[in-house]
Amino acid sequence: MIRAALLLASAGLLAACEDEFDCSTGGCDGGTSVTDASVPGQTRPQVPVLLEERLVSGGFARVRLELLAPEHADAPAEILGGPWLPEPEADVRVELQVQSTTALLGGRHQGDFVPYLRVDLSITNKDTSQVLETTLVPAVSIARGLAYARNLALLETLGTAQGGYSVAVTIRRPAFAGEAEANAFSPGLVVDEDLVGSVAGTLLGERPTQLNALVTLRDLGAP
Amino acid sequence: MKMGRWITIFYLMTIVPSLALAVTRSPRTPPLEGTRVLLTTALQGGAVEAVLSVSEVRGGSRSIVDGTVQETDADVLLRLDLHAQVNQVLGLRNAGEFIPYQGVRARLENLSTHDVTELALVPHVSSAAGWSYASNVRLPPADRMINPFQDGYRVTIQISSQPALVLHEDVLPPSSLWRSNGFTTIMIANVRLGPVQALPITGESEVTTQVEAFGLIRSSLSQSAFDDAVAQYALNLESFFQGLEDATQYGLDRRLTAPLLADVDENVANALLRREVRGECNGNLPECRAWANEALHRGFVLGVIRDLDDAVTATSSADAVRAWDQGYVLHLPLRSMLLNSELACLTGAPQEPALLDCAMVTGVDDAFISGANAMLLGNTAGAAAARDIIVTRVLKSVYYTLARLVTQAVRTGEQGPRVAAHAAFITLWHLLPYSERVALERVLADRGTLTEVEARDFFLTFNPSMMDAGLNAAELIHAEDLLEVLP
Repeated sequence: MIRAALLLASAGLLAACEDEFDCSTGGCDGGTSVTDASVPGQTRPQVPVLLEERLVSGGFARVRLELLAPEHADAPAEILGGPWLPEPEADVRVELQVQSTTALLGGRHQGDFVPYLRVDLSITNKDTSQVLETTLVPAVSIARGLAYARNLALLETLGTAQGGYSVAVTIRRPAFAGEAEANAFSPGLVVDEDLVGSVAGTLLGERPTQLNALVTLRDLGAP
Repeated sequence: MKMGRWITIFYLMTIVPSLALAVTRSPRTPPLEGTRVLLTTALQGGAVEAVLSVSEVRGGSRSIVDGTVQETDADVLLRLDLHAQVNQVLGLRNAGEFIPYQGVRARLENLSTHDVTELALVPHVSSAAGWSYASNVRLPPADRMINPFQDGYRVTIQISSQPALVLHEDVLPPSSLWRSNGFTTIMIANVRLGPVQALPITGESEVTTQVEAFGLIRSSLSQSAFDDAVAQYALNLESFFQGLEDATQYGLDRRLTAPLLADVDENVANALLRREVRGECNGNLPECRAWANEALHRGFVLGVIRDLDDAVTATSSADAVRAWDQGYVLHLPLRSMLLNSELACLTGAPQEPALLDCAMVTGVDDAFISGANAMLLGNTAGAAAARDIIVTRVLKSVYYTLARLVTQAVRTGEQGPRVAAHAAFITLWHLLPYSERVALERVLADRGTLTEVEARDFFLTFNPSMMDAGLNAAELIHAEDLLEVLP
C-alpha cells in the first residue's frame, strides 16, 4: 500500500504534495479524473454526516465521528500532525466527540469531554489506495464543546474515489508522564493509584480503540 | 504465535498496571486526615472555579514528585481542580467538568525559612477525585528533620492555556482560558498545609492594630489618661467599632438588629469622652472607666462572633481562613476575662449534678484549633460546632464577670462595680440570642427597653440553662441582686 503523509496545507508540504502527485491535473496514480467537486470550498457536506457512534471504553465513554463543513479556526502555526488547514482550502472537517457516559474514569457527568487522548486519522481512497494520515487535535467550540477535529482538503489530497474513502480512527490512551510520546496535546498524564489497576479495556488502557467508516462522494456533497 | 500475542495483551492489560509506582510519604511528614482545601477562587467571571487542595501523597501510573517523574518520597499531593462552575460555558458542557489543556505552575515558599519550591502540576486522573492537575511535593526546606507542617507556606498558582489548542470561530475572540498570553497568577495566599497546630492559620492578621489599640486604651484608662485613650480610639478603633454596628454581618439566627447594635461605638466613645452613658459616667471617672472597659470588651466579643460567623459561611476557603484568623486575633484581648472566669469557676462550689466545665481558656483555644482544621478539611459543620463552643464559653465568661460584679456591688455598695455590672449586663444582653434564642425568645421580644419584670423573667430562664452549660452553682446570679444593682 502506498502511504503518503499528505498533511495539508503548509506551503511547503502542499507544494511537495503537488509535485509528487499533481492532483490538480488529474495525475494522481489511480487515474480518476478530478471533477469540479475537488475544488476546495465548493464541495462540502451540507449537514453533519454521522460516520460512527457507539459506546467504547467498556461503556464508560461514547464516541461520535462526524463529517462537518470546514470551519474557520484560530490555530497555531505549528501543530501536531500538520498545520490546521484554513477553512477556504478545506472541503471537510472530521470531528470526533469523546464523552463520558458516567461518573467513572475521571468523568464527573455524562457528556464530559475525555481529554488528552491521542487520535490518529487515516483516510484511504478506495480507488487508488492513496492514503492520508494525520491526527485529530483538540479543538474548542462553544456550540459543539471540546472535540478532536481537523479540517481536510480531502478531494484535493486524495482525489475523487467512486468507491469512496475508508476512514480509520485510532484512539490511543493519553501519553503518561515521562513517556517520550508525550506532546503538546497529551503532555503526560498520571493515572492515580486508585484507578491504574482498572484501566484495561478502557480509553486509558493500552489497547487502542479503533473506529472504521466509509465516506462516499455523496457524503462530501459531490455531484 | 497466537499464544505470544495473548501473552503480550495480558502483559499490557495486567502486568503494566501492576508496575505502577508508589510514592511513599516522607518519614518527616505526619499523616493528613483527608483532603484539605487550601484555596478556592472564581475565574472567568464566575464561569470557572479553581480549588487547590492537599492530601496524602499518591502513586499511580508514574511516580511524580515536584512535577517530574522520579522515585523519591514526598510530603503531600498538591492538586488543582479546575472546572466549569456552570453548564454550557466556554465550550464546556457541564458544571463541574474539568478544564483540560492548561499549563499549571505552583510555587511554595516556606514562610519561616524562605526556601522555595517551584514545580508543574501535571494532568492527573483519579477515580475518587476525577481529572485535575497534581503533583506530589517535597515541601521546602528539604531537611528531613523538619516537620513541614509546622511552617506556613506562601502558595502561588499560575495557569496558562495550551498554545496548541485549536479554537473554532464561535470561540473567537478567545477567552483567556483558551488563549492566554503567558502564565497568569490565579491564587496567591499564605496557607498551612497540614493540621493547624497554631493560630493564626496564615501567620498574619489584619486586625493586629485593633488589638494593640485595645491594650493601649486599657493602659491609658488605668492611669486615668482619658485624652490619650480618646486619641487612640479615634485613630485605630472607632471605625472598627462602627463597622460592628452593621447587623447584616452576623448570622441571621443571632437576631442582632441595628437598634440593638446602635450603641456599640457610642458607648465607648461617650465613656472615653466622659459623657453620659445610660444615665451613668457623665464626668465621673470611675464610672466612665468601667463603662469604657466593658464596652470595649463588648466590641471585641461582637467582633469575634461576626468573624467566626463569616468564616463558617464564607464561600471561598481563603475568605474563611482570613475570617477565622481575624476572629482568633480579636479574641486575644478577651483572654484575661476568660482566665478570670475560669478561676472563678474552679474556686466556686461544685454544682449538682456535676456538669461543671471550667476550661474557658483552653476550651476556647482547642475550639479555635479544631474549628480551623475542620474548616480546612471542608467540614463546615465541624467549624460551626467549634464556633458555637467558642461563643458559648465567651458568653459564660461574660456571665461570670457579671456575677462577680453583681456580688461585689451588693456586698460593698460601691458605685464602680455597680456601673461595671450594668455595662457587663448590656454585653450579656447582646449575647443572649447566641445560646438561648429559643427559650428566651419571648423575653427578648422587646430588648430595647429592659424592665424589671423582663430582667427577672430573663434570669429565671437563663440561670438554669447556664447551669446546664457548666456554670458553677455558687456563681448563679440572683435576680434580686441584679435588680438591686441595675439602675
